[in-house]
Amino acid sequence: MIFSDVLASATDSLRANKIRSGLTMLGVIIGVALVIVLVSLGESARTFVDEQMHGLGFGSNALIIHPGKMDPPIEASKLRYEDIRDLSRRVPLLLDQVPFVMGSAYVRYGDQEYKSSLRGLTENYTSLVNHRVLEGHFLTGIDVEQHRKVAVIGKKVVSRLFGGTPPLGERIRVSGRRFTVIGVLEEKGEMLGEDLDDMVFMPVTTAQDLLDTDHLNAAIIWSRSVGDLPQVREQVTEALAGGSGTGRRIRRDDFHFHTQAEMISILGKITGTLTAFVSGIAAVSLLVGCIGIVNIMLVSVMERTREIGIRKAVGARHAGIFWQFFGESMLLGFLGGALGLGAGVLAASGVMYGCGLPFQISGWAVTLALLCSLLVGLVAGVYPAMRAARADPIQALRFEQ
Amino acid sequence: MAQPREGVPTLELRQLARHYPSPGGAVAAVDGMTLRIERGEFVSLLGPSGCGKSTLLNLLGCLDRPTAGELLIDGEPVSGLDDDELARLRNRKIGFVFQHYHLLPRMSALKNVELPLMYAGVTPAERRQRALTGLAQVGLSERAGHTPGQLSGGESQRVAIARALAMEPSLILADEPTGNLDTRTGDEIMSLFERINRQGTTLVMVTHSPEMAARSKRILRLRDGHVQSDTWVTEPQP
Repeated sequence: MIFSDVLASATDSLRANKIRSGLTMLGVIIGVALVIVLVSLGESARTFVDEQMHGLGFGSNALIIHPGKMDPPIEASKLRYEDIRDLSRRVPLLLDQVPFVMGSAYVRYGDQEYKSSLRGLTENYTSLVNHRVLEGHFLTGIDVEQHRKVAVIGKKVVSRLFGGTPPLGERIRVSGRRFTVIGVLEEKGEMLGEDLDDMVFMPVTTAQDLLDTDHLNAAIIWSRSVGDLPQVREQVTEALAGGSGTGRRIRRDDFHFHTQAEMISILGKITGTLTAFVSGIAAVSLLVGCIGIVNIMLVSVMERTREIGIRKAVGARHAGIFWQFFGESMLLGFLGGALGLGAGVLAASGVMYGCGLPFQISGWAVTLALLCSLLVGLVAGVYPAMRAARADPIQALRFEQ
Repeated sequence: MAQPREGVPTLELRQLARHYPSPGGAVAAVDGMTLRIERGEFVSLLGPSGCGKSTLLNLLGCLDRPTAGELLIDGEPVSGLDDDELARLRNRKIGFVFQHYHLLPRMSALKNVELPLMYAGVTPAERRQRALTGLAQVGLSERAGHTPGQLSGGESQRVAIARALAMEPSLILADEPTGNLDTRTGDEIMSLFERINRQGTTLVMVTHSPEMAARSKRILRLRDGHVQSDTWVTEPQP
């Protein structure tokens, strides 16, 4: 019995019981499809986040300081602009820093009005982050120092408020206060759920006045090199907690750091939990698929007891009978895997398209899923095939269906 | 495979016995038989049910193992062979013809005839060629592509005979080969057996019909696991 004989016999047998074979494969199909959908979606989401992070270009030497505790995430901000303002002078390894005040407000021009997002920050933002000014210019140090009511706006703000009018030099109202538009930023799209094009950027001081607060929502600091990040973290902690230069001490648990990598890994943890959960379902599905194949193979062996007797009478050896049934089980597993692969790729591309994620099918997920399905066929086939091979020829020939 | 030596019997039984365990002590289905069946013989095993015919046929066909005694096929002792060696022996030396044909229902006549060749490791192309020749010899060339369900009883039995002959065995064992057929078809099958026997193949046939037995050359009447009589048919019936 050569390979083509095994394959022909297995194909023939499956074809003779199409519905039964299909139902038997279902467990494997679902398991494999789930593995492919999940792993691919996870990777696609990670690529998406990476691209977004990279697109904003904080760079891997950036650290984000958030006020409050990391766990539990209480954001009762004790962080002020003056704590951050001179940080790079106090910490030599530090390259620069940008404070952030975030909020939202009604913006108005003529009779157009809607609620947009606010960002209060400093003049160095565009030189540190990959976000360029398209028309006009960005904020200046003087704007920040003097709490000037000037605004640099995103493309969406332009189109929603101005229509065809050139926005530069125009007066808009933000929460009822009059601001002068001094620049328009290039289009950036969404980042982590925030639309950077639908934002009004203004001096951090002005934003604090407008929102009536003296706190910051965050600050981004850049070390001179990636390797210095751990020391920078320590030194900044000391500077903030010691209050050197400002005379204002901040409790150590009133702020915490994030690196971009950490932010990505937080996202990764969320998707990881989900992946683990659905991987469990996939594993159960494959196990059920395996049991289903064992079951149906045992039925198949019993149904063909007489056939086994006949084959033995004409000279089939143990191996010949074993391979006949083992091959059938392997084929069931393999076909289930192949169909599951197709279904998984279809489902994954559907979800990716629907969620606007980049199309990405994980190569190792495909390999893993196909290996799993082959393994299922292999494990499921051994016992029934051995039973068939061991059948007593006389008993088998006498077997009545 | 070495050709059977001249003067060596196809089958030699030496005190061959097959006992079955039972609550009241072992029951002997075949009870110490000693006999020789020479090359080219055509032997009928005749007797009432329970006389041990089927058990004897299973022993001769190496489907079953004796509990005592020795069986030699073409002069070679069979005891001591393991299951796979017995399978190989059946494949090379023995062809089976059953009352219920025992063809594989999903396979064409051609594929059924190819089956022993497949287990002998013959290449697919040669298998096909030899199976077609075999079907031609039993007059079924046109039925090669039909499945057993599309064949009549007589045709099915002829396919089974072609399958039994596929490996050119030295021995054909037939178990009630005409038991399922009408008289005329049974007659055709017997003629086919006579022709095969004339070409030198040893035939052993189990039957309960004295008319069929009369067409063989030698009749062994069995009773309670013993040979009751061993008769030579001098004048084959027309």
